[in-house]
Amino acid sequence: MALSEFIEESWKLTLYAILIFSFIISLLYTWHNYQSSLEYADKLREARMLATSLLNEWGEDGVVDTTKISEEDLPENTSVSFYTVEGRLLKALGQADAQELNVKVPVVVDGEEGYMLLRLRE
Amino acid sequence: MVARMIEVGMAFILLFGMVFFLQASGVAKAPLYKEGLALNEQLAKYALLALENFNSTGDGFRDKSIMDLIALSYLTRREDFLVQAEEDINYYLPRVIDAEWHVYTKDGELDIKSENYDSTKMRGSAKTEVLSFTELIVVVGF
Repeated sequence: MALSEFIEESWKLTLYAILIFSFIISLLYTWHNYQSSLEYADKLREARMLATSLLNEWGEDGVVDTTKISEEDLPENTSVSFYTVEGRLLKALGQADAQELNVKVPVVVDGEEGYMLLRLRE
Repeated sequence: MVARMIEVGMAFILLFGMVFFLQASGVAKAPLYKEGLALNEQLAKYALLALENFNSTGDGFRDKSIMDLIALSYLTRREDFLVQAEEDINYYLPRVIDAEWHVYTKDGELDIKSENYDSTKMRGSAKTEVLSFTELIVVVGF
């Protein structure tokens, strides 16, 4: 093989290697993003279903009766707090540590306008 | 030499196209999009219930819910009911929802939204009838 041909061939192979390497990195990055998105989507689904079941259990149509609230309804690593619109805490139960997913749902609590703050540990 | 440059160039365009498609199509965020949409629909439903359940903050209207005020504005054609309903929505929703929102009636009489609502990408909605006059729609997005 002549020297010029060898240089030409190695130049082409190097470019191909760079292209394929970049493509693999991009595929891995997309796969990683997909997995992270899947995990977070699971957490969102869990939060949505839990909020619905708790609000149905403790009241109806967006009105919560605190006498029906029970800590036993809460799964582990989950907490629920009820606040008035002004931010006054009405009731809190359960535990959720750092790195939480928070979902705020508007509800009437014992006749006061407020919201339920559901926290799930990620 | 030219033939090899064309060959490498075509390979580059092909791979670049595939990479661009993977990143731009949002395929990696598809599961998140689906669940985000479902969560927003649920929040919109509860926001609508809040409009039905939350009492007005206006003097002389405290025994009426926001939805009562909207219905009364259609029944009596008095604008002060609708103005008060708008005030109440602007007061309550930013405090009880951690997302952007838009509340409007199909006929355009009521149309208010949060500051950054237009920049939201995932939106879920819920609607109800205001007597038999029009439909009230609540959209929640982020």
